[in-house]
Amino acid sequence: MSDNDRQLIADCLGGQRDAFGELVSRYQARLYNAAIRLVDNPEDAADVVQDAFLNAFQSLHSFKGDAEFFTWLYRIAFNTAISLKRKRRAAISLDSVGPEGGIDPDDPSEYVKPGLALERSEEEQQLQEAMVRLSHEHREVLVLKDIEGMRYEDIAEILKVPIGTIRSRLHRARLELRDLLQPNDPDALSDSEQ
Amino acid sequence: MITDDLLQLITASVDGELSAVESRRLSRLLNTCEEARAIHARFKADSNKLHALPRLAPPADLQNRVMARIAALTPVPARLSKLQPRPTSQPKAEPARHAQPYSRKSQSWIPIAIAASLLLGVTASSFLFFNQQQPRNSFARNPNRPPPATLKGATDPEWAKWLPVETDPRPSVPVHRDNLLPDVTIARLDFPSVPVTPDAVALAPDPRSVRPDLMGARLLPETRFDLVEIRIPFLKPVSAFEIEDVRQQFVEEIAQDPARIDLFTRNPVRAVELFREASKSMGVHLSVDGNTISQLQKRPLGAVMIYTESLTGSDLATLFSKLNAEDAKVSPHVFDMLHSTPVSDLDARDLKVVLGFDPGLYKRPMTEKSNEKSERNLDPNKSLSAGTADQIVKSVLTGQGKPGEKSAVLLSWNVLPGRSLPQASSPELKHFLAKRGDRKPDAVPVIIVIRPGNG
Repeated sequence: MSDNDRQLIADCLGGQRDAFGELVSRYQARLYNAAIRLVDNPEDAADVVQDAFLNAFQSLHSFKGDAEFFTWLYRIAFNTAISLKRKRRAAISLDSVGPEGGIDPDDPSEYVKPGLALERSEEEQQLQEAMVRLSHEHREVLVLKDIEGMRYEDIAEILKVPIGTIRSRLHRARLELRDLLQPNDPDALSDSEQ
Repeated sequence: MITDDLLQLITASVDGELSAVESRRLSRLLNTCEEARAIHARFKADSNKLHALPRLAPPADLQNRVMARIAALTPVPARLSKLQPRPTSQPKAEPARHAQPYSRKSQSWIPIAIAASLLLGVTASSFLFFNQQQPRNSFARNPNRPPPATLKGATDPEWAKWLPVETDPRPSVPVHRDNLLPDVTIARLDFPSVPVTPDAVALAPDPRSVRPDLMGARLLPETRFDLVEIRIPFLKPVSAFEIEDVRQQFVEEIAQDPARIDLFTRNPVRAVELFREASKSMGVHLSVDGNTISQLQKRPLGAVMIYTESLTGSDLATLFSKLNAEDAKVSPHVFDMLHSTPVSDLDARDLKVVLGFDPGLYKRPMTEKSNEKSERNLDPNKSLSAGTADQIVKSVLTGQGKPGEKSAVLLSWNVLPGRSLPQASSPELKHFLAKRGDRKPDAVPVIIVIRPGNG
C-alpha cells in the first residue's frame, strides 16, 4: 500500500474527516467507472460507489493494510454491486442517461461525460450489449482484467477466490464474449465454415 | 484442431500471465498453427476493445453526497468523534424531537419496571406478613421448624439440630488418609459494610469447614500427569507455502533431521515439469535422468525421487513456495499435499540403492576447521581411513573440496527389494556427482518423492 494512502487512513482514524475526503476524491472516478460497467445504470453506479465508500469508512478500523487500499475498496464495491443487481431485475442501458453533466476532470481526454451525446461507434455499442449479456461472474473478471488492467493476484484478492479460479474464469469469460460478439463479427470464422 | 488445453493457453496469453514455459509453448503453437493464430488475434482484439472503452466520469456531486452521508452517520464511531458535519447545499432538517417526547425505545422499559415493582411489593409484603406472625425474640417457637434465618437466629444453638452432622466420610474402598485431600475452608467474600436493620435481612449462618465430598462420592486419589512429547509429522498442502508461518514451521521441522518429503500430485509428469521450473528459478541445477522421464511418461503412476544435499531449510521452503507459484498458474492444480518426516532406515537404504552409493545422510558437513585438522593429521605411513578417502575423492572430483553449487538429481523411486537399478550408469547422475561438493554446514540432505496422490 502506498505511504500516502497509509497516512490518509491513519489521519482519518485519528479523526480528520478531510483525509477520507481525499481518499474519496482519489478513487471515486476509478471506482465509478468499474461500477458502471457492472450495473449499467449511472444512478445505480453512483449508489454503489456511495455505499462502498460509506462501508469503507465504517470498516476502516478493520482494514489491516496487508493489501492495497484500492483493492479492499474494490472488494466492498463489487459486493455492493452484486447485492444491488440482485435487487434490480431490469438493467437500464446507458442510452437513458440524462443530460446532467459529470465532473470536469483534470485531463478531459481521459474521461467522457455520460450526459453528453456520445458518438459511440456501432462496435462499441455491440461490445456494451455483449457485456450486459455476460454472466455476472464473467463480467466482473473481464472488467477487472481488461478495463482496470489488474493482475491475477489483485483480482483474486478482490474476489476472494484462488488465482487458478481467476484464470479459468477469464478463459470462460473470453469464450462467452467471443460467442456473443461472433454474430456481428465479419471476420469471425463460424463453426460451419471450419 | 485446437484442444481446450491450448485454448486456455491462448486466453492466458491474452491475459498476459504466461510463465516462461507456457510462453515458449505458445510461440511454438502460433508458429505452427494458423487456426491458433486466428483465435489468438480475435481474443486479443476483444480484449483491446474492452480496454479502449471510454472511461465514464462520476457525477459532479458524488463526493459531496458521500461526505454528507458520512457526516450523517449516527452514532458517530468513537475514534471519529471529532468529525464535524460539513455544511451542504441542502441541509438536512433536524427531527422535531419535542413533538415526540417518548420514542419507541424509551417506552419499552415501562412494562418491565411495572413488573419489577409488583414483584418487589409482593416479596416485601409477604416477608413482613410472615415476620410479624412470630415474636421477634422467639427463634424456635415451632420445634418442627428451624430457627429463623436472621442475624440473631444465626447464632441460635437450635441450628445444630437442623444442620447435618459432620462425620468422616466412609469411602466404599479403604483409602489411605494421606491420599485424601486436606480439609478446605470455603472462603467468604467480605462485602463492604452496609447499614442493615437487624432482623430485616435474612442471612445464612457462617459457613462451616467441610471435607470435600461430592454427593458422598469417593474422593479421587491425587493424580500426576506425565508430559509426553510427540512429534507430529509435517503435513500441509503445497498451496500453504505462500504463508510465511507455514514456511517457518517447515524450516524448523527439517532442521532437526535429514528429511523425506513426499509431494502428492495428480499428474506426475506435469509435476516434474513444474518442479524443474521452480528449481530453475531458484538457481538449483536439477539433473533429470532421461530414462526416468521416459518411464514416467509411459507409466504415469510411477514415483520419482529428487535428492539434494546443497540446500538449506530456507532454500527448501523458498523452493516449495516457488513450486506453489508455478502450480497456481495452471488449472487444475497439479500438487496436493506435502508430507515431511525424518528419513527412516528403509529410506536411507533405498536411497543407497537408487544412487548406487551411500551419500552419508547423517555425516557431519565439512567445515574449514575440520578440513585443516584432517590435513594436519595425515600421516603417509598410516593407512587412510574411509572418511579421509572420501575427502580425497571429493577434492579430486570437485577440484578444491569447496562447497558445490546448488544441485539436485531426479531419478526413479520404484525400488524393488533385491534388485539393483540400472541408474548407476546414468549420465545425469554422474553429472550430479561431479558437481557435488562438500556439504554446507547448514545444508539439509532431503529425499523429495513426487508420487501420485488420491485426489
